[in-house]
Amino acid sequence: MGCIFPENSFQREADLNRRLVGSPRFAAICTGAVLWVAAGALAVNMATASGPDAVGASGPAAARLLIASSAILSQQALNQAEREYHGGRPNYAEEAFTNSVFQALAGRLQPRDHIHLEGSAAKEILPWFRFAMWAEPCNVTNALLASYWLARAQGGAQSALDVLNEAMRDNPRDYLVYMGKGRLYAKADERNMARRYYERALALWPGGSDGRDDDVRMDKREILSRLAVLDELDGNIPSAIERMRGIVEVLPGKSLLFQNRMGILGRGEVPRQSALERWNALRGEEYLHLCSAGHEEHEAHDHGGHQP
Amino acid sequence: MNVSRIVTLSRMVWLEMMRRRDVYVLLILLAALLLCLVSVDIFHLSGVVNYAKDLGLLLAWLFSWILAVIVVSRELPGEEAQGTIYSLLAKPVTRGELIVGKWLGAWTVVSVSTTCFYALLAVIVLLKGGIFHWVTTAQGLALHICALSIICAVGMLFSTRLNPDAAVTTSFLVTGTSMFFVPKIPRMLFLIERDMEWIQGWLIAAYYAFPHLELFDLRRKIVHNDAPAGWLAAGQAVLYAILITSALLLLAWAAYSRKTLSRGRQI
Repeated sequence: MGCIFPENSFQREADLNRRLVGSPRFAAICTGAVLWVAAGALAVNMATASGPDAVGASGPAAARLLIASSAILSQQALNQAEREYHGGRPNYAEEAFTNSVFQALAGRLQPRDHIHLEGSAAKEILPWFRFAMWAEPCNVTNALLASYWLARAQGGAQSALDVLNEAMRDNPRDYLVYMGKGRLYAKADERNMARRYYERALALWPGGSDGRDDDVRMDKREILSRLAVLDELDGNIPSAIERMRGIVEVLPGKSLLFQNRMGILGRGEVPRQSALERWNALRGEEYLHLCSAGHEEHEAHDHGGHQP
Repeated sequence: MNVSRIVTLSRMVWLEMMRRRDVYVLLILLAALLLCLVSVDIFHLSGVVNYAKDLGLLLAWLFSWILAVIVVSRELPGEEAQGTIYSLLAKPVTRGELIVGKWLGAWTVVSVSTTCFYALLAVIVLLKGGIFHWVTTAQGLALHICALSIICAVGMLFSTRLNPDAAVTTSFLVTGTSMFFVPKIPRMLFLIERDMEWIQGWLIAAYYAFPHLELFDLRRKIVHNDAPAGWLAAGQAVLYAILITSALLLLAWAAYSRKTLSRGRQI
C-alpha cells in the first residue's frame, strides 16, 4: 500500500503544523462550559452570602443570568435524581403518536418498565441531591429532599441532621430548615429538641415565602399541630387550645379535627385518642411526609401517575 | 472503488489526528473531570458510583460528538483551502474514494477515541468500587460507534459544499437536533394546539427526515447494569445506521462529484 502521495508530504506537514495552533482554542471552548457551571454556583454562593436581595431584579444582568443557570442546574440534578430512583427509566409522558417504527425500536432497546430503587440501592440518588445543594444552596427544598432520602437510605437521622445544619448555615432565616429539623427530632422521639425547632420555625414563618400560598399555610398547620400535641403531652392544655385556634385561623376549611379536639379539651373532657397516641401517629406520619416532594412522588406512582 | 486507496486516504486522516492535540486534550479533560467527580464527598457515603458512570458516559458522548464533527468537517475544506486537493485528485483517486476514505479515517479515529473514553471511565469507576455489566457496556459502545458513523457522514455531507466553520456549525445543528429535539417531537405534537396544523406538518416531516440518534444511546442500561438489549433490536439499529450512513455518503458524493473546485471560494 505504502504512501501513494509522496510529493504532498511536505506541504501537508506545513499545513498540519499551522493547524496545531488552533488546538488551545479548542481546549478553551471545552473548558469554557465547565467554567460557566462553576461561575454559576459561585454567583449563588455570593448572593447567599450577601443577602437574598443582593442580586435581585435590579442586580447586574450577568449575575442574574448566572443565578438562573444555577437554578436550571439544580433542577436538572433533581430530575436526574428522580430518573435514578426509577432505575434510569424515562418518565411517562403522553405523546401524539406511539406507533412509529423508531418508537417501537427504541422501546425494544431501552428499558421501559417501572421500577424503584429500594434499600441500599436508593443511596445512588443522593449524589444528585448533593449537586443540587451545591448548585443552589439558597434553595432549602434541596436540603429537605437530601435529608429525607438520607434518613431513608441510611436508616439514621445523623447524616440527615448534618445536611440540615449545612442548610441552616446558608439560610439561617428560612423556617423550612427548622421545620425539617423538628421533623427529624420528632421522628427520633426527642420531644424537647423537636419543640425547640418547631418553635423556631413558627417564629420565622413565613419568612420570604408568601403566607397566602397553600403549601406555606400547610407548613404552618403542621408546625402548630405538632406543637399542640407537645403542649398536650406536657399538660399545658390552654396553650394547646391556642395553637389549635391558630390552625383554624390559617386553614379554616381543613381543620375540623382540630375544632372538635379543641371543644373536647375546652370542656375538660378526655379525648378518645390520647395525646401520646396522637404524637406517635404524627411521628409515623412525619416520616412519610418528611419531604412533601418525595411523598407526592410516591403518591403519583401508587395512583398510576406513571405508565407501568 | 479501490479499497487500498480508501484505506490509504483514511490513514492520512489518522496521521493528521495523531499530530493534533484534540484527542489528548479531550482525554485529559475527561480524566480530570472524572477524578474530580469521584473525589467528591457525597454525605460521607461509600460505594456510590452511578453518578460518576452517568456523568462520565455523558461526557464521552459529548466529547465524541464534538470530535466527530470537528474532525470530519475540516477534512475536505482544509484540502481545498490549502490547494492539496488538486494534487490528490491528480492521482488515480476518484472523488467517491476521497469521500469514503476521509469518512472512514474520521470515523475510525473518533471510534478509537471513544473506546479510550469508555476505557478511562471503566478504570476510574472500577477503582472507585463500581461494577459494569460488560456485555451491556460493549453493546452500548458498539451502538455509540454506529451513531458516530452517522454523525461523521452528516459532517462529510456538509463539508463537501461549505467551508470548515459553516460545515461544523451546520453539522452541530443537524446532529444536535437529531439528538435533543427529534425524540421529543411526539411529545411536542401532543402539547401544541390543534389549529396549528402547518407546524404539526413540519414537525412530523422533521421526525422522519432527521436521523434518530437516540436509538443508539444505551447509557441508562450501562449505568444501571441492566441486561443487554435484545440482539435482534440491536442488529436492526446497526442496520439503520448502515443505511443512513450510506445514504448520507451517497448524497455527499453527489454533491461533490460535480463540484468545481476553486481555492478559497467556498461559502
